[in-house]
Amino acid sequence: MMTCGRARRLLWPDTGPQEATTEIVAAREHVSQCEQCRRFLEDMRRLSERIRNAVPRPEAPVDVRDRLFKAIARARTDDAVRGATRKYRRWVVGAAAALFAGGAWLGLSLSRERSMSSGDAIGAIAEDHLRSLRSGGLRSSDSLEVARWLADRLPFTIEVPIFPEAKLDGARLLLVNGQAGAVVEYTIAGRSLAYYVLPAPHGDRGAKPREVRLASRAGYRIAAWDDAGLTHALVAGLPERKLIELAHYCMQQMMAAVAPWARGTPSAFILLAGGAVGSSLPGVGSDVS
Amino acid sequence: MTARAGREGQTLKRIGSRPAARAFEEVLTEHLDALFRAALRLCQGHEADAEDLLQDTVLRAFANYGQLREPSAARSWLFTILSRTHLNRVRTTGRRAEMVSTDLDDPALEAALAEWAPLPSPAENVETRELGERLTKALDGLAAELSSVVWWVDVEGFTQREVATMQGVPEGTVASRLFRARRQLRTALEAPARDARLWRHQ
Repeated sequence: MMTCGRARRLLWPDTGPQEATTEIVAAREHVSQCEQCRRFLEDMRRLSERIRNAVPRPEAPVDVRDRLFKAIARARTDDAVRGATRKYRRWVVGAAAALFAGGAWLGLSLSRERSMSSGDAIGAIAEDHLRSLRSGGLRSSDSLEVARWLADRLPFTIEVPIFPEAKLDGARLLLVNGQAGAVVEYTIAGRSLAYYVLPAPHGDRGAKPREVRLASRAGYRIAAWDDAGLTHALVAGLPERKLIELAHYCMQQMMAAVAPWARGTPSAFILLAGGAVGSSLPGVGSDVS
Repeated sequence: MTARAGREGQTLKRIGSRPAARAFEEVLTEHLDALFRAALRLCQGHEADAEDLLQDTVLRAFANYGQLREPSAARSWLFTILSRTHLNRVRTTGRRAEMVSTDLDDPALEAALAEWAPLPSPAENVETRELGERLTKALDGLAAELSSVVWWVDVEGFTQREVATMQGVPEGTVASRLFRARRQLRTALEAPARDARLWRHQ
């Protein structure tokens, strides 16, 4: 005889299609005639749904992300050092001595080259994003006020994008490789979203205009693209698809904002007065990296 | 998206050749928040413990990333490592046996299922702003084994079979824990509705 308890045990939990054994068929038959069992199965579904909808979903705090990715970086370094030590111990000692004389010069040249590469700009953006979460700037949800604030401080104009579902929080300045840039900050679905605009690195001709490059650093996703001599980037802990969608949305607004006569002209976003700017810009000092 | 991107002359590419370490960071970024929340559940809301657990998990995953052959399985792979790392930590404190001994066997589970008192009708459930807080508090009050199962299944959407594999316990144990967890959480979920009914009758 099929009891309520047995029928419920057989049909809950729902583990997908079940083999129609005699007992399962009997349990289904029981439930079709038992209002209490139908209520039970419906209650389980409702409870699950209510828990899923009501429960808060906190993001991993910035400090936790920071420490976690530093731990990975340490582990990477340790692995590399151990690998080198095991395989090439003698060679490394000899090579180190041989390279000692020219090492300083070589290191200097390489680090300078690296700092100009697109990959490093992405790293700098990620680092700055982490720092920014603890620093100030202009706090305003008025896009016009934010645009004016940035225009007073930057050698190029930027459009302040308005994203659906996102709340504008404000803006601040940053300095990467001696160049001033802007960061516009938003909140979207309870998460921070930052829009970076900074002069594109000199000599970086690898990227096509408006080609979105994706990366993730330090627990954040970055969608970056170059346009009109500027590097644009969106940084957030959002899913990749959402970030790409926002990047395209942002580009559309930028293109729509350009006057028809200037469309397609690379320098359309840059004021003629623009140029490389150092740390003498007002408000830049606190963000100098 | 592709058509639109093509039309506007915008293209998409990934940066660099994505060596293993970078690929791992990308996978981790994708699942970091979910892992953090799951670690919080396993540590009953203690953030410092959750961070320790998460760090151990991530370093183990990083060391074994080469073993992950199917990138689409990364999520359950990471959750499995999280769960096993937690079990190892708990075993060293000797609390594991105590928790398992409270699981219901099949006849006891059937009896408990049969005794279920139906929920109030949906119209009587009143949503409140405090519901999330109540639920979090109630989850923190559950044994870690119960709250992690309800989190894994109801919030993260894993099947009970998947959770059984990840946590290294029989499916019946997962079912028993899930039922007990939901039975306890319903109190937290119903309390606002009860309060609202009291207000209406005053």
